[in-house]
Amino acid sequence: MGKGFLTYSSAIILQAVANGYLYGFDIIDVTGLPGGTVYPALRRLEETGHLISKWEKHAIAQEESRPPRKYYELTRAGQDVLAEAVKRYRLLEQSDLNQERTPKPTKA
Amino acid sequence: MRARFKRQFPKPYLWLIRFVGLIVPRRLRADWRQEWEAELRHREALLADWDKLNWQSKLNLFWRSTSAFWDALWLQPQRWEEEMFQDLRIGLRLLRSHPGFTFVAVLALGLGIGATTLIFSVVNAVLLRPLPFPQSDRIVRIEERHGQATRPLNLSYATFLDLRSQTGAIEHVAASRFGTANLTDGAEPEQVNVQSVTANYFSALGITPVLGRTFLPEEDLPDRSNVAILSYQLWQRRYGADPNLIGKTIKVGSSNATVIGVMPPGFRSSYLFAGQYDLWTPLVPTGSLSSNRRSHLLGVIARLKPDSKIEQAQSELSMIANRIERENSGVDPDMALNAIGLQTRLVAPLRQTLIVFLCAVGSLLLIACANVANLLLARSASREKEMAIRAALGAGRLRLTRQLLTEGMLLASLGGAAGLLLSVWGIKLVSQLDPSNYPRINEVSIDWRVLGFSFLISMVTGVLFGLAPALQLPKHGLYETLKEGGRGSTSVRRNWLRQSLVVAEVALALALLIGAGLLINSFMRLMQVNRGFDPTNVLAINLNLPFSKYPDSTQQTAVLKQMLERVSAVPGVRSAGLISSLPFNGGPATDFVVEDRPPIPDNQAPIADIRIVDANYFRTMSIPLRSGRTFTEGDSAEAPRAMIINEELARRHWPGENPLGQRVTMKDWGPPLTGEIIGVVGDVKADGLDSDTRPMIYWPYPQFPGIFNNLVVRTNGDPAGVIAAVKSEIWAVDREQPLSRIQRMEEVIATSVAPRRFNMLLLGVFAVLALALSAIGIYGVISYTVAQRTHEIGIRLALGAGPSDVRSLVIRQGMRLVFVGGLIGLAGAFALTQLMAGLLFGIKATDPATFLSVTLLLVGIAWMACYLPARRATKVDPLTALRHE
Repeated sequence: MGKGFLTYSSAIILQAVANGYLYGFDIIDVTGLPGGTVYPALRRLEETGHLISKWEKHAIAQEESRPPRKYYELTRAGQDVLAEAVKRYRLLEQSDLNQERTPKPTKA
Repeated sequence: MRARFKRQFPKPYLWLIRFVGLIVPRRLRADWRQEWEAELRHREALLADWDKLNWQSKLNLFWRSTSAFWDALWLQPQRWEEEMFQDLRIGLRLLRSHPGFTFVAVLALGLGIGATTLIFSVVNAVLLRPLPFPQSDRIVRIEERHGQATRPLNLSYATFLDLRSQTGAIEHVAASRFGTANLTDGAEPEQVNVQSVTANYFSALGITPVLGRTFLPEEDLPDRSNVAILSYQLWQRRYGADPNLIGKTIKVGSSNATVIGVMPPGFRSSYLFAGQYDLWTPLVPTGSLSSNRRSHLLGVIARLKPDSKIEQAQSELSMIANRIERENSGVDPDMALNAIGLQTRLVAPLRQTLIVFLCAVGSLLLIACANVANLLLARSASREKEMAIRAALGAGRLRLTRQLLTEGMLLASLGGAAGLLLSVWGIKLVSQLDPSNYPRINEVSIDWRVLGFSFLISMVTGVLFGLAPALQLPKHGLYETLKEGGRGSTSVRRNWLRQSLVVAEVALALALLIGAGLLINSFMRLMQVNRGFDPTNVLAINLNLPFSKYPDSTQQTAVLKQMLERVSAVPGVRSAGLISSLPFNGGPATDFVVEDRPPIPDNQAPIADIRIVDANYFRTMSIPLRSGRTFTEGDSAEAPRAMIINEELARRHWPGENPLGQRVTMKDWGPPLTGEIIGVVGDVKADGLDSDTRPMIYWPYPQFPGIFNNLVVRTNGDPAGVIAAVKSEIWAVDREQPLSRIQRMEEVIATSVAPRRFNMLLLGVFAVLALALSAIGIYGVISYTVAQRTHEIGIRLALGAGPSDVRSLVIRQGMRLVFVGGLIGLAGAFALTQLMAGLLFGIKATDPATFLSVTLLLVGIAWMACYLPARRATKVDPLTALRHE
């Protein structure tokens, strides 16, 4: 996947993933985007090759007695387009996505 | 944490995910649920760790989990896409793995769709496509009718002038007449069709030339009329598309004309007269033309004014007609003037034929669909287990139906593509057959409308036969099918559907066959009609003298006599004669009066066709002399006027009397001319084999010379052998004399029956296809039933039934369907053939002989289609059949 044009919401979601927010709900919390936007965007970004998803090892999940988790990671292409997007959307740099690394549930 | 998690896990989240997961594509569903579950649990654990797992945060978590719905929705297109591709893949694989089935189905559909597309393309060009002029719906043709006479007439120049000056609802009233002209400036003289038009003719049509200009208003006056406009084709062919031709002079006949314009490539037809035109010249009234109200030579068109309706124009025309009649008492009795849309007028005679053809191809298409549906049904029987297994694996009824429909669509698309190819080929064939009575037949082509139509019928047929096997999916659980091993209630229902389809096929095919049978019968009767002359070894050549070169009647007589003498001397020529219009090609007619008879009111005056012939014409054509004598050298210009009449005229006006010596006056030929009847000859059809025999008067050439002539030459052998010699003899007299339409008299006859032959051929081909398809349908169903009943037949044979018992059992079953279909078909044929009444000749639409013979033909072929599988049934080995159980 080459560099593509990202919408602001996609860019902000990529930025969130880049900053270690790996779950949809965390992304919702940290970006303030509605759930109806975030999940389809995650699927689309995965389809366009900007994100890949990886299943957690089964043994780890079994140990904790829970289903294996799926994590999203930025691909190389994802990093590139994010870099492009950061240049374009200056606000991304200043957003609090870069401030806090620990997810914190909120009551939205 | 684990203990707390187990205790506290809020079930509603899980339920929601499970519930929403139902709409996620099956392939992704497990992963999707797991991802959401893991995320929810992770979230919940976090909340618990933060010690905030109160009812508010649980509610919030539940609310957040509704996002799963959006997520699932987003995945829907993938589901459809995936399933569609899956269906297509399966469909393609199936088609590839059964090439025989695919070939037969695509061929049947291709024939059905191809025939339908072909006829639609004709309907499109002839009926639907507007004439190629701006606002063509506002162009009207104006016609004259007299009394109860059904045939509309062209207008006389005098009436045209009245119209032009007296109408308010129409504008650009323009007149034209057709003729021929000789181009004599090139290497070889050439005769071209010419249309003489008033100066406003092109503005009435709204057409502009590609080069130069059209006529100026003053150019249809006698001293300014030496100008000409060329067709694009003539410009290209004869003048090498020379762009500098405008302003140059060409030689038309013996006079010069300045080329002022070239018309666009598509503009050759006048839509008023048959034929294609290559030259337009100004219509200049000569002699008594402008005052003669009895020579109906002009085709008149006009444009409705922007704010006028055709009804307004019509009421104006009625008033004008009344006025003309009043002012010209006795000349135009019971005169009516009518305005009809040009396109409506053009297609009116064809509407009925095209409707019959559309019905025919519609039937053919339905038969093709029924056939393919039957094939699919037979195949779906063998796929029952496959369907049951799919159902057992979770495919719903809807999903299976979609699969079957996709397969149907796939077949229909292939059939549609094949049909489109066939129709392209068919269009070429149709234009080669040249049904000359079809206006705009040369405009038939595949355009967006035809493509759209073809696509639409492909899709509709795809649904039609794709649904047939889907209807057969068992309503009770498919599991039953697995248990039954392919036999049981579904088979009964399928048989019922298959048999209904065969009944429908037989019914449609019979109706079509009867229609075609009637046309064939008509045509055969037509060809048996007494022509009145012997066309064998007779050559006909159009020999129009250029008026400008031979304006004088003495000159015309002299040059023609010389030509005839030279042609008669050609080795192989038995005799040669002249006539003004060939048989079957129509010609002029006149009102006449018999001397010493009580006067007859003008509107009841008898009419006779007029032909000018030379002394050798009757001998050359082998037209028998019934009494008196034919013309001789003695019937010269100076001798008393003599005429020969045909038997029909003698029968009508002198029944049981001798007409010889009677005197007759022609009224419509300039000044009234009186002559004495010197002979009676056999009847010859004037307009065609299917026209009524009309009274005819022949005048001797020297007493009535003209420029429009046809040379007829009877030869000892094949007339083709003398063409070159005849041409060179004529050119020896006049090097510039153009010769055209050189053809055998048999070809003249063939041309006159070409429209009927075309209709017969087309409907015949459709009927044969329908018969073949329905025979295949019957064969398929009976074969299938035999295969299905192998076990039963085995038992019957084992119990002592003889081969003939089995054979008749199978044949009886098939013929029962044929019988039911036949009855419905006969009823349908009664309806269809009523539509065809106007296309028939010499027989009624309910001709019992045709109905009977065609039904017997169908029954015979259907019997064969039943017999073949029946014979196979007798070969069933009881042991093998039983062992299968």
